[in-house]
Amino acid sequence: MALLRLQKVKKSFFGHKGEEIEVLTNIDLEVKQGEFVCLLGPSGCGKSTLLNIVAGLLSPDAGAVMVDGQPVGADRVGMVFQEGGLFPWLTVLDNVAFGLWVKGMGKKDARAKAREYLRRVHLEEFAFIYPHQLSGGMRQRVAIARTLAMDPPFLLMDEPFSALDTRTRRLLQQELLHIWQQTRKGILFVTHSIEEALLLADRVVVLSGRPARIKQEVTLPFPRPRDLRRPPFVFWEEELKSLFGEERDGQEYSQTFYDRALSQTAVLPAARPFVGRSV
Amino acid sequence: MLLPAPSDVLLTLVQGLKEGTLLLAFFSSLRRILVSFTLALTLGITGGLMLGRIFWLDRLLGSLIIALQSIPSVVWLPLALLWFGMGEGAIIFITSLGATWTMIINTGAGVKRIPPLIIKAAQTMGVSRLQLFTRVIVPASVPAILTGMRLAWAFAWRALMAGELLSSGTGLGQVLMMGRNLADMSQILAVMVIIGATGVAVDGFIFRRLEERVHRRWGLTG
Repeated sequence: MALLRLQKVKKSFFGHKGEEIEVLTNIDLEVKQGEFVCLLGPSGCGKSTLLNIVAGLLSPDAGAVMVDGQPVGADRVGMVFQEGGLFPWLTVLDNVAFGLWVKGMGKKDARAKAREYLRRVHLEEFAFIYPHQLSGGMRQRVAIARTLAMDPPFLLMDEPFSALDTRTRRLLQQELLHIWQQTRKGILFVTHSIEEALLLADRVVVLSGRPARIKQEVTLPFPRPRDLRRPPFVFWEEELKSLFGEERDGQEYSQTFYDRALSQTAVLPAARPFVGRSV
Repeated sequence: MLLPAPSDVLLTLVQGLKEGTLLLAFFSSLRRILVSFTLALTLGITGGLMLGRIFWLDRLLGSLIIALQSIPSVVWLPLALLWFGMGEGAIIFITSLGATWTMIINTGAGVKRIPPLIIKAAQTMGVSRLQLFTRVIVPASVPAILTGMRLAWAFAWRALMAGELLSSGTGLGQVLMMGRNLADMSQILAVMVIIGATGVAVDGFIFRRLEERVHRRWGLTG
């Protein structure tokens, strides 16, 4: 059964001179219960627009978006943003409890539940500090905990790890996979990193440049944790790169290049000073 | 003689406080500013929140309010005296007016500066329109509101003194005028010391502290 179903979704915006700019054309997409789908596309291609539509923050010009067989509403999906979007006036704990209060849960119950979800992302001891006191990676973990606490059937993630350094990103990717395997929620994860998509996804959906349409879908029925140096991934990486390359802009290219350079040096023992080993 | 000796001023100050005339004047001014400031905060925050969220209202009134803010509030006194007579009403009117515009402008700017991401995040958590307002927009504007309060306090204090100088009653400004009538410079300077000290004390002990606390919590300090 499809948890999320998009049918022929279209969206246009109007430019400065009143001209119509088509952002999405005929997007058909399905995500099943417990499926991890990565949406890969060049920046500015409309990924975020698509995500906002799925989140119920924007309505499509045409087509249908169904979550669990019902039309989408703002509170039916959980969304994790690139930069957290935490509330700076609330403690970490209250940030996680916020969504539960909004739903009408009592303060005490909400905090107890929030605490449980903070434990899941290993941030229990930071419950009473404020978001600015956390590192970027920790803030993203709070954002994930906050979304999970609402127990949505479905998670949307908009490049949640792209603002983090490589090491923190790897760590959070592992944590996310772990949480996902425990909860079996459907996940739609937007990224512009091929590596990230290959590491995480059951299925990679490649979008074209504007107007975005689905260019290709790649199924990756491989177990995790994955080693991207192994044959199926090396093959798919090349494949996706050639597919993606036509759309790639300079920034994207350097990002991917930087990722690759780092992941390659990480193989060398000398380049891993953070491995704690007593001599 | 241009100025009285500092020792004379100090003597007058101590005497005035002991006898209670200066103290009485001080509390009378304090009462007025508290009434006016409360009024200004209520109107200013409400107005600012509305202007920050309602686009057409901002387009309609935004620049008018900035224009009104640039009018020194004592300019309103003649009109206020005609409306309210020579009494409390006129002084409270111009004092709150001085603070209200600043409060509206600062609160409105704070609301407009809220990162869209925070609002979006709240919306994906299913907040109602009312909840978005009370639980997100209002708390997110708190730093701007506090900055507004500091400025508004300064404006209100100035307006109050100007108002008291020019009308009747028992405030600090009126004692100041009395000093002029009696040609008692040390009394004038003693009152000026009280006015200055009160302004600094309220700003330093109340508003600056509140602001610093919020800034520390939010991580806004450099």
